[in-house]
Amino acid sequence: MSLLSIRDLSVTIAGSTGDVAALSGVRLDIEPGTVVGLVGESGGGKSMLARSVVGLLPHTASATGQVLFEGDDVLAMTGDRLRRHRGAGAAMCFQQPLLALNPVRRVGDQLVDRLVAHGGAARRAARARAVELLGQVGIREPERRFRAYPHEMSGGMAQRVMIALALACGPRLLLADEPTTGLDVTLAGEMLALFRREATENGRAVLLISHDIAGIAAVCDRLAVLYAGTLVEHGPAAEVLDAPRHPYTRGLLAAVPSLHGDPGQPMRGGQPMLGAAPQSCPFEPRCPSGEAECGRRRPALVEIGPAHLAACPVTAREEARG
Amino acid sequence: MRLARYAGRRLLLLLPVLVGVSILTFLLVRVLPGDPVRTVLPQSATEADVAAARERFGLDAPLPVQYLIYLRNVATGDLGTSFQSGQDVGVEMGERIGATIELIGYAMIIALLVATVIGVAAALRRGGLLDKGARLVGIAGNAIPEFVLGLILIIVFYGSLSWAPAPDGRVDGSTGLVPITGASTFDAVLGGNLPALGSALAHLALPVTTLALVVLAPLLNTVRSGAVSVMDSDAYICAVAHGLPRRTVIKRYLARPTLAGLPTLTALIFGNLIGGAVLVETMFSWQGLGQWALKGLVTRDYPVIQTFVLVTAVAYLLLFLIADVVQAWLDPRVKI
Ligand SMILES: Nc1ncnc2c1ncn2[C@@H]1O[C@H](COP(=O)(O)OP(=O)(O)OP(=O)(O)O)[C@@H](O)[C@H]1O
Ligand SMILES: [Mg+2]
Repeated sequence: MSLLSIRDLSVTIAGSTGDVAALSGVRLDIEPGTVVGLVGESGGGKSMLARSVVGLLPHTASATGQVLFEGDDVLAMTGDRLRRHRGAGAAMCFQQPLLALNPVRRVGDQLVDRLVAHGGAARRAARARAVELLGQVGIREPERRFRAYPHEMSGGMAQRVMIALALACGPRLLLADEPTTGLDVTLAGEMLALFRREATENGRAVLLISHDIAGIAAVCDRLAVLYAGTLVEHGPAAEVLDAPRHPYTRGLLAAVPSLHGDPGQPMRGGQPMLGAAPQSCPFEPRCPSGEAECGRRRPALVEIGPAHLAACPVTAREEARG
Repeated sequence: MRLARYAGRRLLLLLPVLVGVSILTFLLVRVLPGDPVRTVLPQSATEADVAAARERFGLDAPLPVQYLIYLRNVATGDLGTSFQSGQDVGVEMGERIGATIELIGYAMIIALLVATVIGVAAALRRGGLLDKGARLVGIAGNAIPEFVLGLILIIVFYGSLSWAPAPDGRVDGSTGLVPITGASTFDAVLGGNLPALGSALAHLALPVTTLALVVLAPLLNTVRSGAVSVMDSDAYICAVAHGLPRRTVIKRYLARPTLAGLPTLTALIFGNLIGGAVLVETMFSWQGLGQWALKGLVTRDYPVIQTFVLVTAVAYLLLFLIADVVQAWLDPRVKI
C-alpha cells in the first residue's frame, strides 16, 4: 500500500466569477522514501492538490474522490483524527513563507509549538531541538535566530524556517509548495538536497511542487505533470526528462533556457481556466500534434511504459507502433 | 525602556496641543450666549453689583490679558475658582475624577474582555448562532443611544426586579465609606470596609453595564472582523495545517494577532466613553466629573468648563498614547 494514494480527486472552487475546476480526476501515489516532483504552469492546481492532502481546501471548495493516507481518506477525516494527520502525517511548507509565519511570534517559539504538539516534549526540552533544527536547515547563528521575528528575516531565511517548521512536525509525508521559488541557485540547490536527504535517510515521502521541471528533476524519483487541473504525465524522473511523452511536458522542457545561450522556446498560448472538468483534451488548443479526436474526447491517463503514464492518444499510438 | 522613552517624548508633545485646546475653549465659552455673572447674582442685583462681580471673576480685563492670566495660573497649578461654589476648581475636580475614572475604567475592561472572547468565538464559528447574535448586537448596539439603554436597565433591574440599588449615587451612605481616591471600590478596599465594597459594586453594576454596552457594539464588530481576516491568512492556515492543538492555535495564532491589530481603533472607540459618561453620570447621580461639567456648562461656570475640557483632552491624548504603546508591545513589527 502506498503512503498516499490520491484517487480520482476533483476539486471545484466556487468563486465570484463562477466555478473553477481546480483539479479534475487526479490519480497519484507516493511511496515512503521517495521524492515526487509535481510540476506545471501557474494556476494548474498544484497548491490545491497539496492542500487537499492536509484537508485544508478553501471554504468555497468542494472535493470528490479520495485522498487515502495510509488507507484512511483525508477528505472524510474530522476532529482529532484530522488534527493528528495534519503535521505528523503530512506537513506542508507553504508557498509564501513570509506570509505563512505568525508575524507576532518568535520563529523559535513557532518551532517549539510544533515540537511540543507532535513530539510530546516539554517546551524547555523542545527548545534545544528547535535550535538544532534551525541549524539543520542551514540557518547561521541558530541560537540568535531562534529569537527573531519573521519580519526580521530575508526571504531565503524565511523559506528555511518554513521547512524547519514542517520538519518539526516529524511528518511521514512532506509537502513542499515551491520551496525554491525566489531563492538564488546555490540556496535552491541546498534546499533540494535537503529534501532528497529527508527522503533517502529518514524515509519520508516528499511531494516537491515547482514550476521548474528541469530544476528539480535531479532530486526527484518520479515526476508528475499537472495541466489545467488534470494529470497529463507521470513517470520516472529521468525518463520524463529525457523522453517526455506528453506534448505539454515537451513544451515545458523546451521552454527551459539552456546553459549554452539557447533562450528556450516559450510555449504559445496559456493554460485555460476551466469551469468544469474538461470534456476534451485541455491541452488541445495549444498542442502542436493535435488531431481531430483530441477535441472530442478527454484522453485517459494510460500506461505507455513501465510505471510511466501519459494522457495523450497520439503518443500512445506512436508507442504502440514503435 | 525604549517604550518609556517613547512615552516621555510623546508626553512632551502633549503640551502644545493642550495650549491650543485651552485657547479654543477659552474663546468658545466666552462666545456662548448667557452671562455667568447673572446666574450667581440675585434677580434684584444692580448694575454696580454686576460690575463688581465681573471684576471679582476677572472678566473685566481684555480677552488676551484674561487668557494670559489664566495660562499663568494653570502653569502654577491654579485652575481657578468656580463662579458658582466659590471653591477651588482643582480641588473640586480632584474630588470627582476618581469616581469617573472608576466608572469608565470598569466599563472599558469589561467591554474589551467580552468583545475579545465573543468576537473571536464568533469568528471561529462563522455563521453560527453566536456569530449571528454578535452581529445583531453589533447593529442594535449602534442604534440604541446610551440614555435609552440606561433607562431600560434602571426600569428592569431597579424598578421591576429590585436587583440593583436606586440610581442615586455611588455607595450607601450608611456604610460610612471614607473617600480617599474617590473611586469607591478602591476606597473600600483601602479602608478595609467590606459592606462598602459590596454597596459600591452594586451601585456600579448598572452604569458600568450601560457604558460597556455603548462601546461593545463597535468593539465586537472590530474584533470579529479582525479575527476573520486573521483566519483567512496563511499564517493561521499554516498553524492549523501543522496540526497544532486547538488551544495553541486560538491563543497564539488567532487571538494574539487579532489583538495586535486593534489598539488604535479601540482607543478611538473608547473615546466615546468620555462623552457617554456625562449622560450616564447624570442619569445615575454619580457625582463625577461629567455631571459636574454639565452643571458648569448650564451655569456658564467658565473655570469649570475650561478645566473639564482640558482634562478630557489630556484623557484623549493619554488614551492614544497608551494605544500606541500597547500596539508596539503586541506587535513586534511596529517600530517606535
Ligand atoms: N482561495 C481560492 N479561491 C478561489 N479560487 C482559487 C483559490 N485558490 C486558488 N484558486 C484557483 O484554483 C486554481 C488552482 O490554483 P493553485 O493555487 O492550486 O495553482 P498553482 O498550480 O499552485 O499555481 P502557482 O504556481 O501560481 O502557485 C487556480 O485557477 C486558482 O485561480
Ligand atoms: Mg501554488
